[in-house]
Amino acid sequence: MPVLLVTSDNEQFRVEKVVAQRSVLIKNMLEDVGESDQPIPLPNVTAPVLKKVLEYCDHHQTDPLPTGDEPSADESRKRTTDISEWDQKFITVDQEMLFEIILAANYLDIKPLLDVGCKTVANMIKGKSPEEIRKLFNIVNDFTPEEEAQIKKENEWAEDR
Amino acid sequence: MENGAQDLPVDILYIVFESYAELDRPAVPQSLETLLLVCRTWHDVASHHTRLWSTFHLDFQTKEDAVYWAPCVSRRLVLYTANALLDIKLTMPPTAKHISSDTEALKLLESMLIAFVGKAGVTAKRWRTFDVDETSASALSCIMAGCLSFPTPNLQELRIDWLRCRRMLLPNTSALKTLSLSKCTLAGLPNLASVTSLQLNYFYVNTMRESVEDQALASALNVKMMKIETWKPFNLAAKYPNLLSLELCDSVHAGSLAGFCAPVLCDLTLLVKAGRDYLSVVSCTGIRLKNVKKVRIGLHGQTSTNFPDYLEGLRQFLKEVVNLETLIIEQPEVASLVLKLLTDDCEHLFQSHPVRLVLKGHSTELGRGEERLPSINEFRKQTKCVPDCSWDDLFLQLSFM
Repeated sequence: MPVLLVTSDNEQFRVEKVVAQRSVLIKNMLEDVGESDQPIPLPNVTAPVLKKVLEYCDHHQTDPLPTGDEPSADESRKRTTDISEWDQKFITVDQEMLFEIILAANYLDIKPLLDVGCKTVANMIKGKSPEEIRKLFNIVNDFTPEEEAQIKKENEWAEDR
Repeated sequence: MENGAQDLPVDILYIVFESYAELDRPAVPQSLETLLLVCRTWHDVASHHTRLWSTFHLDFQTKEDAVYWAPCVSRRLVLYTANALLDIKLTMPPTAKHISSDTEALKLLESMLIAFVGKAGVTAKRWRTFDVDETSASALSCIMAGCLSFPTPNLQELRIDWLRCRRMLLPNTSALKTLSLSKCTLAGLPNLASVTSLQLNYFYVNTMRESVEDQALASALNVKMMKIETWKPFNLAAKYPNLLSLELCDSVHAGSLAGFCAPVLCDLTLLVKAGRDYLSVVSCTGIRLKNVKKVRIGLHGQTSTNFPDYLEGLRQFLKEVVNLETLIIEQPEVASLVLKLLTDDCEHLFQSHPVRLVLKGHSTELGRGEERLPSINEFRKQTKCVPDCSWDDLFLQLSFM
C-alpha cells in the first residue's frame, strides 16, 4: 500500500509503505493513524533531500531493522567500520546535500543512513589539521588567541606529531 | 540549502566524532586532539564526550603504534577521562608478534599497561571492560599478572586470551557480568557471583590443591550462558539455578558433570570428538534433557572421527532430547548420521510436535509420519548430505568426506 509524503516545499511523494517505514518517525506516524489515505507532512525535509533519502530507503528496504537497544561500547565501535560500496556511491554528493541528508536522517530517525553520513564526515576530517577542517567546512575559528594557545599547550604531545 | 558542519546538532557531532575516533591511529596526524582545536563548539562537544576519550581500543600492528599510544594513553587518562569508566581493548595480530621482541616497543607497551592500572591500582578501579587478545597478553605476560592484582569493582566484562599465573587475581569483581578466559592457567577464578556469561576455553587451575578446582565455579549462581572447552576433566560440580544455555566443546568427561545441576537449561550445544562425550551428558542427572528445546551438535576440530562410536553416543542423546524444537547441526558428516537415524531406529522420535533442522544456512521442518522420509531426502539434497544408504555404506562415505 502506497503512502503519501509531503515535503516542506509542498512536493508530494507516493512511496511504498515498506520503503517509507525505514523511517522510524514515519513508521510510528503510520501506526498512530492506522489505515488512512491522509498525507504525512514532513516539514523539516525539502523535496530534493527526501528524493535522495527515499533512494536510500528503497535500496535498503529488505535490510533488517536496527533494534532500539542501546549498543554496548564494543558494538558501538563496530558500527563505525567501513561503508558499503553502494552506500559510498550514494553518499558521494556535495557537502550541503551531505549535511542535509544527515539532518533528514536524524529527523526521520533512519539510523543506518545517519551512520553512513556521519562516517563520511569523519572520513573527510581524517588526516586534516584543525585549519584544514575549518577551511573544508567553512567553520569560523572563534577561539581567542589565548584560548587557542592554551589548548595547544595542553595537547603539546599531539601537536608535536 | 544552508546547512554546514557548524550547524550540526550536538548529538550528530557526537556520532561524527565517534566515527572519527575509530580512525585514531598513528597514520592520522594529531588524532582526536585535532577536534579540540577546530572551534569552540567542537572543543566543547569533544571534550565533554567522555566516552570518546575513555574508550581505548588499541591495535598494535607495528612499533609505531606502541610509540603513538604509550604517551597518548597517559595524557588522555589525566586530561579527559576524569572519573569516567574505562573500556580497554588491546589487540595485536600474530604477524606483529615481533613487536614484543623489540625492547623499546615492549617497554612502551608495559608503561601503557601500567598507566591503565594507575598508582596502587587507582585507575584499575575505573575499568569497565578489559579485553586482551592472545598476542598482546603474551607480549605483556611479565607484568600482566601484577596488573590484574588490584580491585576492579566496576569491571563488567573481562576477556583474556592467554595468561599463566600462580596467584589469585582480581580480588574484587563484584560487578563482573561477562568473563571469558582462553588458554589461561591461573590459581583460581575471580568471584563469579554476578557473572551471567561465562566462557572458559582451555582454562586450567594451577594448584596442587584439588579442592580449589572443585570450588572453581561454585559461586557462579547467576550464570545464564556457559561455554566450557576443554580436553582435560574439568569439574563443573555446582548448582546453576539460572543457567539457560550450555556449550560443551572438545571432550566431556563423565566425572566433569558429576554434581552438575542446571534445572532450567533449555539450550545445549555439544561440539565433541567422540560418542562417549554424548553419553557423559546423557548420564548426567542434573541436566533435564527432556526440557531442552534447542540443541546444536557437531564435531570438534579437524581430528579424525570414529563414526560408528560417534553414532552410538549421538543415538542415545537424541533419544533423550525428546521435546527439542530446533536441531542445529554443524557439519554434513554429523547431519548424515542424524538424518539416517531419524529414518531408522529413531524414526519414532519427534512425531508429535514440529522440529526444525538447520545445517549451514539451510533449514527445514522435519516431516512427521509418512512425510518423514521425503522431508529428509529433500534436506539431504539441499545440504549435500550422504543420500539414503546402508550404515556400512554411510560410514564408508563419511570416511572420505
